[in-house]
Amino acid sequence: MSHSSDTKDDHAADEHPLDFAKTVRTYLKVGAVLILFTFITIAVAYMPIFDFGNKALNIGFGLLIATFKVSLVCLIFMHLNHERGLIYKTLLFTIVFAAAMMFLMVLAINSPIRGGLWQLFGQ
Amino acid sequence: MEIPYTVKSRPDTGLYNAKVGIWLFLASEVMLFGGLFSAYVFLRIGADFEWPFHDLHVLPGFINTMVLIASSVTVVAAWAALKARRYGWYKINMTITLLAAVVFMCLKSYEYYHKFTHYSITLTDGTIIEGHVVHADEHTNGDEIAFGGVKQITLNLATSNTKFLPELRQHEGDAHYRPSTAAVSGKAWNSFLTREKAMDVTITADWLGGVKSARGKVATAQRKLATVQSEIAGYEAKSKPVPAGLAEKAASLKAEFDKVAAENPLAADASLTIDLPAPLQFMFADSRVANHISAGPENYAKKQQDGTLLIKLKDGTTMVGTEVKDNIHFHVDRIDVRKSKDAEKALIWNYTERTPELQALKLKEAFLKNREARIAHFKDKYAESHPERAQNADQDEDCRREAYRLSFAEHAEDLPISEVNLKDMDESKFAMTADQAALLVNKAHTHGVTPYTIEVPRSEKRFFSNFSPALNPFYAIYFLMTGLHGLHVIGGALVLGWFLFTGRKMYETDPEHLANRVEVGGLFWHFVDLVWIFLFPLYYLM
Repeated sequence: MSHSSDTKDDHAADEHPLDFAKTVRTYLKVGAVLILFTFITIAVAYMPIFDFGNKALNIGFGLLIATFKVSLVCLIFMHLNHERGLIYKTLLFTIVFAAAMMFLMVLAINSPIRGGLWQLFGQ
Repeated sequence: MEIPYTVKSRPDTGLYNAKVGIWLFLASEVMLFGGLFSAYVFLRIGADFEWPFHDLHVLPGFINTMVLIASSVTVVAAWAALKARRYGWYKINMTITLLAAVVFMCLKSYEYYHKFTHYSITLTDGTIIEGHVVHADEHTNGDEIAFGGVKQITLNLATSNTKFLPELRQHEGDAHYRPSTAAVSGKAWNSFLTREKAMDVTITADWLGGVKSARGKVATAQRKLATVQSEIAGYEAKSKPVPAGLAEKAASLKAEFDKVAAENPLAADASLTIDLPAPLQFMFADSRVANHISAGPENYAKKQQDGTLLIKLKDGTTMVGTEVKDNIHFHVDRIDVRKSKDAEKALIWNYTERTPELQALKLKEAFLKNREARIAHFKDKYAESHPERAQNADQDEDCRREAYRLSFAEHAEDLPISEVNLKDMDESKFAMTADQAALLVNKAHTHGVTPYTIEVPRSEKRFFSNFSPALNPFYAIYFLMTGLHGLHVIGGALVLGWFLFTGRKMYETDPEHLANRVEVGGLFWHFVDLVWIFLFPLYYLM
């Protein structure tokens, strides 16, 4: 496992034995936060106090929470908070290409089909 | 051969090889699911129908989210246990992870099962009714076309197949007649006397295959003969002598043709009509019957001059019978009249009026009452925050969904019967006893389904499908993405299960290697989790 270390040794974990109880406590806390935010996502979808009168806001809010949850999984469970440079470089490419693919949606803004992307925002 | 850098890091990357591999794989997976999410957005913004909103039951999706989050914690805890050299904790955590995968797939299967057995009918006026098809029995034909009193079948020998054989459902006077072992008039049920040739044939797939093959042979012999005969005719037209060899060839081919034709008496015929020793009843899926799209009962079974009915299957087989039942028997659980021109005159009310029990419940009145109440509710709701929406509440998308699309359970709350007035019901006035009404209300509340059957004339059906990918693009992309995600869950569980059940030996010889393997499997498992984190709100909540 590549725990953060200045030296590129092979067995970082062996030299810094993992504190099992402490590590698992961290994971449990993250799991609890993920569950809490799952409840919030449902609340945003169903509870009247989160009714902004605009569905797009609810969708945006829901996706924001999902993005936050995904970030937690990536950073803590997948250890992206302390990884080697090669993995970040690989993911940078992925993000660029994925973003380019999502950018295709912008082309639909003026689509003649049922008002294009704007209808998602209730306009 | 030893695989390099399974434990030690490569000097240039600083990582063991499997980790580089899994991240490259996950990068490609991001693009795969990214493309599908992008497709989802395009389908949603381009939808020419009301995009289903809050259509899926949240509870199974919610439990699955919890289960996957829990499994993400346990799989990373399993890895941590290996790093800390605590094999017992590794086994416990990995076992929980696998159990979570099983629970996830069981719930997913439960959801799929209920979708596949749930149906939607779009009527010709745009009304959509959702519910369950009644199982076919001796009284109802479910969603099949029942064609009875069949005494004559005509096979098109070039195109017919034998699919109609298993579609035989009952023999008149014997409701549970099955073709496999029973007999009609002392003969095997599919052994018939042909009309033209007065010969006995037993219709099986092999027999029909043999006839088609013989037809091929006869046609080939006939074509060869025709070619030579045409050549001879050419000579004769030009008043030239026909070469001796050619005349001999023609004679030989003629003899060959006669021989083949004699050996295969049915081969020269285009069709074969058989008379049944006793009238039979068949049940066909409407996709099997020709002209089913153009609707109208007369297109399923044309009335002939002698009063009998003729039905034509898509393979060219025709049957002559005396009765046809092509209503779809349906238990309704939801009515959606948003696309009807006039909700109060929607076709669905005709069907409920024809069912005495439902007529007594005054479903239409309950619906109208509900509709007005809900529109008023939305007017109040928007009054302060969105005055414009309040003014046009009856046209507001959310309001229309709530007011014009009601489940039967919701109707039941406002039905003109209650626990109190059930006892006061005038049973002679209503076509239902108090007990029946109580049963209806109870069923509607507990299952959301009316226990009474409505009959939808097939001619008034525009589209009919279960809640499968065929229903609309929402369900197409829903099944595609959740199905693909489910396959990832199965794949991940198999790999993690392999590590759990075969890992002991490796743990004893090289625990760091096993830890690395579990880390790689765990990274994949986390990816499966994070895909679901997006899928859940997108399909269940938004």
